[in-house]
Amino acid sequence: MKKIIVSVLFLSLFLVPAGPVAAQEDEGESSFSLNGYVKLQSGVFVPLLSDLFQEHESKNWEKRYRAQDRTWRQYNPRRTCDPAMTPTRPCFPDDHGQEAGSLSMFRATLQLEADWTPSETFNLHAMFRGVRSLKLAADQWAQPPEISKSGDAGVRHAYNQNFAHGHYNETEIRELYLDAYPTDWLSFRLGRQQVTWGETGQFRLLDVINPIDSTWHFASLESFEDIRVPLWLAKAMIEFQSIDHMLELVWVPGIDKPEDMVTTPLTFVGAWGIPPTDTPSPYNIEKKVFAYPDNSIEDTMRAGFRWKGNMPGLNNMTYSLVYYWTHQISPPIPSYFDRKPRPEGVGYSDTDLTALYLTFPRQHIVGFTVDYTLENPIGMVLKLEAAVEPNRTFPRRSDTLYKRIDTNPGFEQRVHFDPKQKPVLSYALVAMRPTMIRWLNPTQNFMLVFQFMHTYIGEFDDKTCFGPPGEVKACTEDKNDLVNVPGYNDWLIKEHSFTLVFATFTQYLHGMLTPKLVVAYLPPYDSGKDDWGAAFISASLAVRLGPYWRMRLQINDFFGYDPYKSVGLFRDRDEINLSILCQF
Amino acid sequence: MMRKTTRIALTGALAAALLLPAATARAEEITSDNWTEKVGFKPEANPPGFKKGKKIKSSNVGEVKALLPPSMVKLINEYGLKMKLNEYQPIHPSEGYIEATNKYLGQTKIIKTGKDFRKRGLKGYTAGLPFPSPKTGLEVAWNLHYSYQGDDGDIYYTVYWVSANSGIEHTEDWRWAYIIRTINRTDLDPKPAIKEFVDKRLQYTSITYALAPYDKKGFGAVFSRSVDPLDQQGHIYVPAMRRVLRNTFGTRGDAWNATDLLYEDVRGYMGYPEWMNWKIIGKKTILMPFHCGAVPGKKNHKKVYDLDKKPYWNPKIKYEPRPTYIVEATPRFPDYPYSKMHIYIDAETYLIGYKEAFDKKGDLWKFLMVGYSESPDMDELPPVFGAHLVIDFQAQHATVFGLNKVIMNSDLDTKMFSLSALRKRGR
Repeated sequence: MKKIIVSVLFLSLFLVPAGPVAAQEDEGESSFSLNGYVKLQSGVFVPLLSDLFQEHESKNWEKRYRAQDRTWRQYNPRRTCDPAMTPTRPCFPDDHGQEAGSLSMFRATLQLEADWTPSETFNLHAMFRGVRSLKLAADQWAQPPEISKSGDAGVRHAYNQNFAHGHYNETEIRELYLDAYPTDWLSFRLGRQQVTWGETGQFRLLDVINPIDSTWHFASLESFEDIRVPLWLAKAMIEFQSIDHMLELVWVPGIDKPEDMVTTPLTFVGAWGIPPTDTPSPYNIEKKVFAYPDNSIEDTMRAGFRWKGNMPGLNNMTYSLVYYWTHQISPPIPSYFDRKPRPEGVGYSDTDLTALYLTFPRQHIVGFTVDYTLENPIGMVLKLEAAVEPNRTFPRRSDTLYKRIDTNPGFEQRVHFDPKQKPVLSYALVAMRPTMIRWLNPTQNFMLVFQFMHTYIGEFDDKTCFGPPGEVKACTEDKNDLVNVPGYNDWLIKEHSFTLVFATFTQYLHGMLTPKLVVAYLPPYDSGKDDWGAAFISASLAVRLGPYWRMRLQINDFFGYDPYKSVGLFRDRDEINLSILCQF
Repeated sequence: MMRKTTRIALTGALAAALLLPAATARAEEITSDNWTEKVGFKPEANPPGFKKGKKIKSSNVGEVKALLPPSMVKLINEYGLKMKLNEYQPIHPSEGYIEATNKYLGQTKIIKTGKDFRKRGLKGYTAGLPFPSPKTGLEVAWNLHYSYQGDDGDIYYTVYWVSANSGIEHTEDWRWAYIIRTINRTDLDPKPAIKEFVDKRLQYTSITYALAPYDKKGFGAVFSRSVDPLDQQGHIYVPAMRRVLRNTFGTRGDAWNATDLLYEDVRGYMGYPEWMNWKIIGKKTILMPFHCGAVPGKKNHKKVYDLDKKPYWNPKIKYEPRPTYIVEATPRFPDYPYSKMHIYIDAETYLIGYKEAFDKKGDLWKFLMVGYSESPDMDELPPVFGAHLVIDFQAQHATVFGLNKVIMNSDLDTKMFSLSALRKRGR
């Protein structure tokens, strides 16, 4: 409540100049503006074509661990279990399913945005957002960092639901920054803001400054503007007008809340989070500690630059060069854990942990973009975006043999995973073409967008060898020990991975109706010869009703051969959702 | 020995031979006083059926039918349009434009480009009116292309989407700032060209962005047009993505912003002469909306258009007899949505007053009207853009532009039209 009052009072300060300036420039641009909207979004899970209109069922089996061959064995006869009781009773899901008709989301958003331009050299911008959401039954599958100790599954599910619900509700000054233009070639933007680099829509190769919070809906289905987490940062733009270029410098001191510095882990929620893994950890973990960047500016700060301009002599080609020094904002990397002391008082347990620590290691990102316009009759824009991460950190399997006990005095309980760093190259090619398909729409074009992304992991065949000094070492092939998402031991990294996306939209009735279609396909991760991969299809219809009302109906269908890899993690999240917005 | 009388006669003949071209040249010089006769033709001052102050409606439109395009007659008979007539008032361009027309007179030549409509079809043009007293439709088209519109402009306007049956469906507020003469300048220094645009072969640059409603606010574009008849080049800023994206504007027949207006329909026709075949099909007096009496300002929109009564788009402006070239334009590329256009081009200003566009079957599809109010100072500024509407007769729908603020020749800073300017404007 306090936050709401403070935020409203703050925004009302903008209304003070509104009075005297409202009468000015009423035929042109006002020096003050206040806009906003109220939005209601609601969705239900409904099995669609990908599921042949049948619900997926959650199938969870109790197993026991055999250390000699590192395997888990079914009981005979099979015993069902509840993953919420993990790790107390290790539970192995074969599949996960949401109940048809259960809510996928139900949230109300109030957003207010104000701009004040007292002179040509200054502009002040503020955005407030308040969100309230209902509790969702699907959030019972959330995996909080600290699990409930209750022996009752129902109590645990309720605890998980409450934890997830806390993530949805929001009351904050989302953006607050000052634009200053001291000269015509130098400008600054200081404050809480979003900075967007990169050219490709679906892939965040160089859109690396702001983390995202996609806990409330599948990330690709919401505008990045809404899911990026604004950060307090300083940005300077230096223009070199004689050569038609600009240099953008960004410094993030890291004074935000530590959890805002990284992408919100999708284990924190259930409805749009990742389900409990089918390869539970062999450890009983009391709590997971997310070691967000914190402490000092040296630990938290990030910085980078972007050099951008038109290619000399070519009006139809633009390029940019990017460098950013940051933290790896997703996924969190299990780095070490603290073992529980044995009850008998000597030594430490091999299976019980007081805490598992997940960190966000430092990394460099270097990249470039090029975009080029091809004239009619081709009439297309081509884009290339590439990012090199020379030191991306990959988590190890939860049952990895590659561990080492900390030898520092006082830290004997600590065991390090030592996750591995590898160079990663990702690039995306995009082709965008406005195309008249007159028999489908005689008056408005279809925007056709094709995107292809390739990620290559270097040093893929490396091995990691471990063992005490002077002894024969055991070696593990990285490709069999490094995973994409911590805890998903079967979702190993691949040397090459691809994503293809097609999107199109057009408008009818003079912009009143905007249908849109997005199709994404991800080739298989080798779950077997039948594995055809994963995909999603999203079809939506946006409706404009007069100057104030907007509506959007969206149908989203997720496909996946393997329910524990790639988009298959969401294959039970087929959904129909509706949003209604009133703007002013 | 030459006789004295012969010497005198020879001297006189020699002097006449030397002085005659100068005298002729002085007689041919175009001025603001003789502009109309020299570059076009005078209209009939009192054509049949015309009377100053007369109101034309469906009951008496027959009296002035010969002075109107068929679409205007249709609007009067079927849609209740009323016209208030005014007497003809001559219009001349700025002193700088007239000076440039005289200075570069005769230097501009048309180049035959055959089937290649992407090749520039003009050479030797520097500034001013390229073809005073044009002989062909193509010369009229080039005069339209380089008509006097000032060197830059800054316009704030409201767009109304209007249904003939239900009225205003939607509105948006926009700003459009442009340098229409980055080269070929006549009013503002540097003349005749801004060097950086000469190097890039760009003749026009602009920035446009939406001011309202909220979901559109901030959407903007910077784009420029080449000297050569190529697609526009530019970038757009998309607020939802927080990105500046390169865009292609080359789709033929694409409507601007889901309106009834194609990109090339702005101000009647903003495409290139090379893209059409041009033929003069009429040279006569037409009642057109010049000195139309429209005053910019949001509170004046309902004085300019009848937005409250069916069909909710009728302009309430004045019309006067204007010397007019009626030109038929047929597209040179197959994927253009119009099979032909009849364009009514004022022979004094070479601005478009009306345009009729026909679909592929040859049926009347759209009607465009552009109205101009009086220039505040004809020696320095062009006529003020007063009214613009596009009516889709087949869809019973129109796009109406209400002008809020119009500033011409304000010497806009070229830095306004850069990628970084677009980016700085964004959230």
